[in-house]
Amino acid sequence: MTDVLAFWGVAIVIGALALPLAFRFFGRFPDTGVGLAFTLGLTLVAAGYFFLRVIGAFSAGQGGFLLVIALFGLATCVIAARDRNFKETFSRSFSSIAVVSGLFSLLFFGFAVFWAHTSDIANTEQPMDFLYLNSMLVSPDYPPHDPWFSGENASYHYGGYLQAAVLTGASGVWPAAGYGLSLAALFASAGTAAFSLCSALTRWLWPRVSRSWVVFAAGLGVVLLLLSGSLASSFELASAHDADHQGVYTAFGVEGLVRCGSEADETCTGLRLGGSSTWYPDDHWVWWRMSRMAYWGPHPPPPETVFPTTVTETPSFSFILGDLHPHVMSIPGVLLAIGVCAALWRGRGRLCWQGHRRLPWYCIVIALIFGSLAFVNVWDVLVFSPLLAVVVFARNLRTQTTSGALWDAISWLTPPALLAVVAFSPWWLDFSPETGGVYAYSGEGTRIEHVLLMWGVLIVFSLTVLYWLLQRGDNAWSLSALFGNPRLPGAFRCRHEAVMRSFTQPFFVAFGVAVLPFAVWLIFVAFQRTAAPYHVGDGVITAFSTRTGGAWAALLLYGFALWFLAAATFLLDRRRHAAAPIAALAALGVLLLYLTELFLLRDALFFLPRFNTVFKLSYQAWIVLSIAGASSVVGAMRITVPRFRPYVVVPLVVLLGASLVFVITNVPNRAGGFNTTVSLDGLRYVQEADGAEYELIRWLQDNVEGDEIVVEASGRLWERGDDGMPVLRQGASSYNSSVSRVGYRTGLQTPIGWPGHEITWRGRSQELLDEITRRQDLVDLIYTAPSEAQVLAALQETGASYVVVGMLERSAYSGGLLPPFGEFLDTVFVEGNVSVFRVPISETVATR
Amino acid sequence: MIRQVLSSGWPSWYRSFSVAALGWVVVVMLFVLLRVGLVWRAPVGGAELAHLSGAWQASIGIEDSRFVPTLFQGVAALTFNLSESERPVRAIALAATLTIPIALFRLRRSLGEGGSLLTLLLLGLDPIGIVLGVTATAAAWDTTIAVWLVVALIASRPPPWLWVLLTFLAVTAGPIILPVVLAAVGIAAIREPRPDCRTLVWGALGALLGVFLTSFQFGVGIDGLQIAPFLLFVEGFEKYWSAFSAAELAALYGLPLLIGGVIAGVWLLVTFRVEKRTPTAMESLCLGMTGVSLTWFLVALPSNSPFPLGAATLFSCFLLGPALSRALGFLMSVNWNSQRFQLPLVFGLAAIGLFVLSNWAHEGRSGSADEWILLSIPIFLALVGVLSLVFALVSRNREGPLLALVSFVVAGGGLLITGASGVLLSGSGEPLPGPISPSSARVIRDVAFTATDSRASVVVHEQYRDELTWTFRNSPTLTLASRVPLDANVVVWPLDAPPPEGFVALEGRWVIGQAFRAPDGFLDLVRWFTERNTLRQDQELVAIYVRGP
Repeated sequence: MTDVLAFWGVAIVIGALALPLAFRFFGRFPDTGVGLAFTLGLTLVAAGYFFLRVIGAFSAGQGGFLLVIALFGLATCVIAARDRNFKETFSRSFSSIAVVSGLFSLLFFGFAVFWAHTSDIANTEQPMDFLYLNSMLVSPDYPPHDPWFSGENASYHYGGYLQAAVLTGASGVWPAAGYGLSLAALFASAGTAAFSLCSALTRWLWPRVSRSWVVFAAGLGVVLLLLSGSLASSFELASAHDADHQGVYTAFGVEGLVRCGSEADETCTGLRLGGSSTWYPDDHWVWWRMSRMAYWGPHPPPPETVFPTTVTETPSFSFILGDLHPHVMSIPGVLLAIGVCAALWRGRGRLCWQGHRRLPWYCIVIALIFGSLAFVNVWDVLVFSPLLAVVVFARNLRTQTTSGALWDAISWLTPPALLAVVAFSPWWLDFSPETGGVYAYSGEGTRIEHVLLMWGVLIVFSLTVLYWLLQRGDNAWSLSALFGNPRLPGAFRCRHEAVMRSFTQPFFVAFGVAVLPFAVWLIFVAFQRTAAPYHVGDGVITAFSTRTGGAWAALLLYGFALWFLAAATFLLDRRRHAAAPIAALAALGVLLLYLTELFLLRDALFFLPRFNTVFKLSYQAWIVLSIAGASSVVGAMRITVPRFRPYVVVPLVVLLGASLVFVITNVPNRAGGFNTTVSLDGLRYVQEADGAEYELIRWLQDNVEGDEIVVEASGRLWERGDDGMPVLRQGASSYNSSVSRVGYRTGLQTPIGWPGHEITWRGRSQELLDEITRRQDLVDLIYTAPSEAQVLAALQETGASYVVVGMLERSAYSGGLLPPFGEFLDTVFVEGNVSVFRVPISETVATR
Repeated sequence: MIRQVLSSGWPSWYRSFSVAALGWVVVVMLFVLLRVGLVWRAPVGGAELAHLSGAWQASIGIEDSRFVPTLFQGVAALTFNLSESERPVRAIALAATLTIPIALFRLRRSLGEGGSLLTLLLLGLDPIGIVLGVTATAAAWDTTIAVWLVVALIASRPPPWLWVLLTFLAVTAGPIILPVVLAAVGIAAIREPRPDCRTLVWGALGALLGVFLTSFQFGVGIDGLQIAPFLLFVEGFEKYWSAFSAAELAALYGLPLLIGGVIAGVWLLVTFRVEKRTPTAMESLCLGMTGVSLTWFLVALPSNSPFPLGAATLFSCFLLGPALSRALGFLMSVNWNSQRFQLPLVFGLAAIGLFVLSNWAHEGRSGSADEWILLSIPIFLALVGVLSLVFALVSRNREGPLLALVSFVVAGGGLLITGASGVLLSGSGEPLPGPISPSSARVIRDVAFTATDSRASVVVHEQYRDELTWTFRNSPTLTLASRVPLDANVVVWPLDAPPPEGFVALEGRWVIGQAFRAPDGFLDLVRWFTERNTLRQDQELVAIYVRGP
């Protein structure tokens, strides 16, 4: 409990210290940016820590994190002192501070309780996440080292791990507990950020409306972002209680979720599973199926999609899994970036470079916020930096000609952009992802049923922003005006023709926005710049025919939705209507989904080319559509004539309820019905399975310096051959939490970890593959060499000081292959079957 | 100011000698006397051992992470070219510390005559301050620089160019100056007048010069951009610079000043509200410094560093001194007639409670349930008496709450005096500093190098890497190893390790390091307060082996 309170306390302090900055940036928000303060503070503290460590200002440890927080507090204190409105804003924000800190605490402690029931850091890529968290904490130098590739710096977007490390390190919490608490802080900060954004977008719609509507929209934003999920969960729940029907399920594209029972039925397309014994589906990891559409279709999936080619995760899924991954850790940062864009849109006056002279710190903070977007998750900077540019340009357009607005926007954006590039250069100089450029996607596409089940609720909610265009009255820009409504105001009617021209123009521009991606896709296809999960042939005809009818329907849905939403954005922005940013966010969300159906960005997962594109862009779309959806749907409810309101509200509530089934049924599934042992220690499972392994981790953390290298099993399995020589039985693989455990559980450097991940992070090349093999061979030689000299030579080549021998090593090098380390190395740790040996020390010391 | 003419027949300057002046003389003498002896008496241990080792390595041109580039460390390294003893280095530390009374004297207008004097008295009695001000840690000049920074910020208006020196000293000091710097910058941002441009430029120049020199580690080497206060602050959370944690050290030595500082701070804040006035610059700075240092101390409670406590007690004194002065004035103005029976009764009951507690502590038992009930009666009555006393005074005077401060200081003063005299007189019998390198450790070195001929190959076990530098300084080259090399002649090895083959152990009890254990619970603590030298001590014993014939 002390750990939880310490962690929470550090988070609250960072949020409080960031308030002066939040007031300056988001002063026009109804909560004056209090909901975004924690994210803003953590982003800046982490960036500051990174720079100070890179220049070598101090070493690793709790003190460094605390020092940076103190310096950050000092900086914000100076900003507060120079803000003439600070006291007034602060006193005005009391209620917001109370509400937001209450919401933060509720979400934080709520998630911590959930996580305490399922805290094992053992599944999927959790070991990798833990690896980076530990690396940020113990790395003796910055940029931080890669614990699975000794001697090399980390090559990954690790900014989010650094933010988690700030909280973990400053609070002095053991990293295995800090992992889950970081998730809790992430969950809470995403919630408060969504709350802040939605309340702002809604409040701007009606500056004088009752506060309850604003709170309702803000609350709905939190729910949509963090708790809603795929509608397929409703089908999962029904089938768990034998309420499935093959025909209905097939019609909705979820025939794979039908339960066929233990008796094999050849016609049944679903899972060989019986009903659930609890009110929620009790299959192991049932919620996993919701993130892989291939599981929804006929079971088993076709061979080429056994490893699903697309991943469609949602924040709710990520938090249930406990995925401390960049795309999850970036949620608050993305919302912060959107908040900055919204605040800039709402502001007045042109934005040009002179502005930075007046407020240089503003430029620095913008640079750090958007630089951190890439630092935390590179995918985000590709989407939200252009959004910033568009917003700045749009704001300048209000007072200037197109060329003037463009020039000023460029002059305003250039300094923070350059600063961001320079500031984060120590990171990106080490960052070497394999990117193969943009390709047209020429596969089957996503079925319309799946699109609707996955994103239908958010799209429908977001489309309600169009409702603003149907408003009657003297709004000369309304859609009714566009189509010549007879009840137009007289003044408007006189200028009908000219006005029609001015309104139809945005409508056609928006059409261009919707058609342009498809046109580019056609060009790509025509020039055979295509890629698909499996080769389907070249040419336009082949690409057209490969895409299924359902997928074409999905494309049409996206295209039309984008057209209307873009048109709404242009029309609303022309009059600075407060619904414009909502429409813009909705359009952005739909555009992202649309792009996933047309293009893909080739990366290290060359064998699953669409995997990351759909995964990352659809995740961003979820975040954006949640905010837009919550604000617009509440807006639609508010402006609906009361007697028609039930007809609008009831379907929306039904949809919302259906989207919440995912969380309601899967939280107890993940938490084992809340009947498991409660602990936040992510390595508790290690302690229960093998206490000696747990003590090993503790000992290594306490006794081995961060710059020393520890050798553990390479992950390959060996046995003694007939001739007595070691024979390779099985190669190394990733996704195995019992392998490379020293590296990820301690953050100490080891020669080689999960090889597949190193290839993903560093980019596939023959040189890298050779290096990985060389390291594996060296490690295996240490554990199998017949002579002491060979072991010592191999240890010297790896630069390692310590050798770990535990159950993993005993099984990986079975048949008596392990050398008698104790005879020529120092035995420094023994606990059960686990030992640690150290290379003998012998050095001459001068004392005068 | 009450002036008393001592003798009309004496010279005129003597005739006008005031009680305050007499007080200054007495307190300054106490301040000096409580420190001078430590230069010779204090054992080398804790942070001092680490930093002397670092300075020694720097003096012989070897890069060592224990050399933290503060100005004092640089001076210490230079001093080792003249003498291998720690005493000259300590004397340099002491010389700086002895300027603190002058600084306090210059703060009379800001703190008040009585406040300034009492602050100096508290600083003089602060056990942790005594040790940190005399021993040769990297932060030995911190207290002095911090106090003089306060003088420069509040009491004097130094010319802008002098800020080159001040910021240079601040950047090349240790972490104890951080609360002053943080509070000063924060207050400068909030309060008018803000520092002028020339002052800022000169200050920035000094800081840059400091960072330049610390980054080059005063010529020892370069390892990135180094800012000494930051380095020591961060390392304080990781290094083993004290046998006791900051929390344990506070329980032993710092509670009176810490709690008194908090009470004084709260009282000051309440005063602003009651008197409807804005704080003076000095009050703001004191509150800021104490707030920052207490926060640092609280987050560093589990760390094994004396610096957080040193900072917290130092800045608490600045709040506590003026508050005590006001409290004493208040007490003198109170008519105690109505409490003439109550006061002795309260003291009597409290004495009974303390007597019983200390008796249990000596016997090492916690008392039965019946005994606890019996004990609770006098303690309860004493509490009721104190509360009623406070209530009676509060109802008549708004400064009544200060009585709580005074009653606390009466109790805490005893602890302060025992703590100060303990660190001054007990030497290695006191847990501060610790763990120590006893004088016998140097004997090990002498024995090892004289056990055989002068060309003997001496090998020391690698687990004594940290102790080795200081203990074996200025020796012929030796070997640090985890296994006995074939060419070894003399081996200094852990006593519990198997003796190396072919070697003969030299008889004797060889202690290379020793440290006290923290009190085991409240009663153990009470016992230590009433009777020093009751804490258990761990000794690190080694064996000295000589190759056999």
